[in-house]
Amino acid sequence: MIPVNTTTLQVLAVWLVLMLSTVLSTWGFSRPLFSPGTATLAVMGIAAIKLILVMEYFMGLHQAPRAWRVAGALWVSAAAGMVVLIYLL
Amino acid sequence: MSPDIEAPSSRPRSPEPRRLPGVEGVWAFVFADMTMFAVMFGSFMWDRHRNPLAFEESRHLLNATFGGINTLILLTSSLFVVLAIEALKAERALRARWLFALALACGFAFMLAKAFEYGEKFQAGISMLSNDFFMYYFILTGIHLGHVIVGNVVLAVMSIKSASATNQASSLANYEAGATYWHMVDLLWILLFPILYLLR
Repeated sequence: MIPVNTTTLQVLAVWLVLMLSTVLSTWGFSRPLFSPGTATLAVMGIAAIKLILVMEYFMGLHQAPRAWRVAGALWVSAAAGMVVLIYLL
Repeated sequence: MSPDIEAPSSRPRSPEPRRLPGVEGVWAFVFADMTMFAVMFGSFMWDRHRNPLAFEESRHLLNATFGGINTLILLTSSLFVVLAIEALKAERALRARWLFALALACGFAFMLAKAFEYGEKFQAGISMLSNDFFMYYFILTGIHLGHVIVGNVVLAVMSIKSASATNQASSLANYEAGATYWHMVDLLWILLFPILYLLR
């Protein structure tokens, strides 16, 4: 039997969240049930969370020195924030 | 034994030292590349803001299902890469080799889906000269596809070399650097996809 460690379980859990949130963004919020503004803000919020999860748990920033983690969070905030800000103008 | 000397078992475990996976230079490149993409996203959003109706009409001609499936493919390939690095750390080189190969198969699947998507557009008479939206669409997805192609080469090399890999720090750092690049490809698509296909 293949031993499964906690890191593997953590990564699998993150992957599952990423997959489900992608399904929600792509095939959930695209329905006319949601107004364009609501759908866009929800989709961009989900994208920002996915970016943080990939940086922290796939790229391994959660074990990196604080400065690198801050740099990652700043990029996500700046990129996603700029998109939302221009959308809301 | 002196009473003021603590027994080793009662000492609190010191936390593992913080470590940046891979090579610092690759991280510098990754942040520079991501910043370049962020500037292009800003440019797209600004032009969209100035001409929302034309951009929205063109967006309706995209197939979000292609984009969604490609996101699922890239996320799964990233999972395989993370598991491959874990396998290398556990000195399970053969397992790592197969996991890198699975990640590479996902990379090929992404390119195949993109080829179908581009083919669909060309058949409908749509090109990058059609309008501003499609200029951005082809440039942004084209540059990203270039990153995927380079990433596939990196994954192929890592799959071949990992059979004889050791978990020595220097060797592992090189694999982690390749993995960091591939995750960046995933990361860029996670933002590119909603901006082009889902914003309405």
